[in-house]
Amino acid sequence: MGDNNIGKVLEREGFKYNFTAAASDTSAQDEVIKEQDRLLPIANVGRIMKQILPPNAKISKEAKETMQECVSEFISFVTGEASDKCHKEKRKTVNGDDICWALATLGFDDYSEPLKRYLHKYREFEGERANQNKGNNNTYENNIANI
Amino acid sequence: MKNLCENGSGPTHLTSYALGCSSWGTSSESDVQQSSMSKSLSLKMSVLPQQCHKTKPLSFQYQDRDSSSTQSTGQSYPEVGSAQSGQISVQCSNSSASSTHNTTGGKSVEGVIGSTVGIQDCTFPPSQLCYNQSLAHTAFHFAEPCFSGLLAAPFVPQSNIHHAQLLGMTPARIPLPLDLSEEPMYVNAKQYHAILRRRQYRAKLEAQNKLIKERKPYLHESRHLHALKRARGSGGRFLNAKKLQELKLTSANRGLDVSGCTQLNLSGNMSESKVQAVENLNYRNGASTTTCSDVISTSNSDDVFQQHESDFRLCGYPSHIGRNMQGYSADIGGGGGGGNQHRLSVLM
Repeated sequence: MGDNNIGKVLEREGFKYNFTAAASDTSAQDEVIKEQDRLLPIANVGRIMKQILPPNAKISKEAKETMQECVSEFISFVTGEASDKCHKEKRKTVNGDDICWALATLGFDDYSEPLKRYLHKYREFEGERANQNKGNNNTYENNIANI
Repeated sequence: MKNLCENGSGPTHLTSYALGCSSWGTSSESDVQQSSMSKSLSLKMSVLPQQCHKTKPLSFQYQDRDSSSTQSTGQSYPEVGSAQSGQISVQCSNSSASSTHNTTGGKSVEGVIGSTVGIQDCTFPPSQLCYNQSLAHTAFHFAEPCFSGLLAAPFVPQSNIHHAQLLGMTPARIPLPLDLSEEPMYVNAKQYHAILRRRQYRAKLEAQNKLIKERKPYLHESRHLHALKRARGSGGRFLNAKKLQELKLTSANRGLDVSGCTQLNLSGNMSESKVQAVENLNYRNGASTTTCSDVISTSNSDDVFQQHESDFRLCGYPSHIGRNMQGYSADIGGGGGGGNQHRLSVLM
């Protein structure tokens, strides 16, 4: 159940990778959860970490792996809470509101409010794009900047 | 007391705390005193009236930081403290014993006080130590020396460490049951059930033996071999199409034989075609020609070192012409050596 939730979160955030594993090495144990299914891609984690650092800063591989474990566990932690709420309400789809509610329930109020505003503007943007049937990167970036 | 001088709202806190405990307010904050208080805290589970007086100075020190953060964010004390404590508890895993070690080591302890109502424990672990703890939890093969180096002998019984646990300041703290451990770990009350749920899920995965024990250096064998064959420049970065052409021109100017040029052209064409095929499916082991990837995986680290060695040889060479030739031949040799090493490791 938790594994499915992890997949949903990854799908919502736009991580769409087609992993075709080679038969020789990676299929030794069929039931083992693969690294790419349990953790975020380490290159993307490193890229996000680099955004906050000065241009000449370097990040060790150990730091990236540690942050990879931390963020993946945090995603499972929050998504598990949201999934528990959906299970109680007999719903099968975890949406953005459930994630915001889970963050507030777990005590991350400082994160919950900005995410609600982001979700609101994101839905406005998606609605406008669906109506106009064309995309504008500048508008999207302005929406992100306004949050 | 330094925080008082630095912070503008210091006098107010000094006045408020002088009423409560004047004797402790005037005393100097030394490491020995802090270490003794932390040790006494770690030994006892419940807070005694005598212990309340001892914890006053520490909470007084942390109160200044909390007020400064409150001024910057414009929010009330309980909200900021509760939220930040919750954030820390997810990322870090630690015990009071580690907090004691931190205090004795003389490192600065950072944390946020949830509320001033009631006397509560006020020892926060550093983020670096927490990450080392999480490293131990994830069972990295190189975590053992780091763990033994950082922690002392009394902390050996605390080897059973779980994710998402923190001894921190929150309005309501619930003791979390721990297996094979005498001391309870206090977590945010809001996260108690979620932590237990995550624990059960991880225990279920371990029972089914589904968790990955080791990290693989690469995911696909074919891509790994392709990355080994690619040409590399100084510093170990992959060369793009333009730099390959420049190398060909340089080698042509140096008067190499025709057969060598033909081989270079063939290898260049092969690498270009493969790069175009793999460009859409970029992964950790390789990088496309358009983007220069900064992530170098473990399998390529040996090549990086060899390239650095070739850089040293380049610096030592006297003339500019000879430097180019030396670098060119060193690149080929280094790449071949790296490939052989990795193939042997794969076969084993």
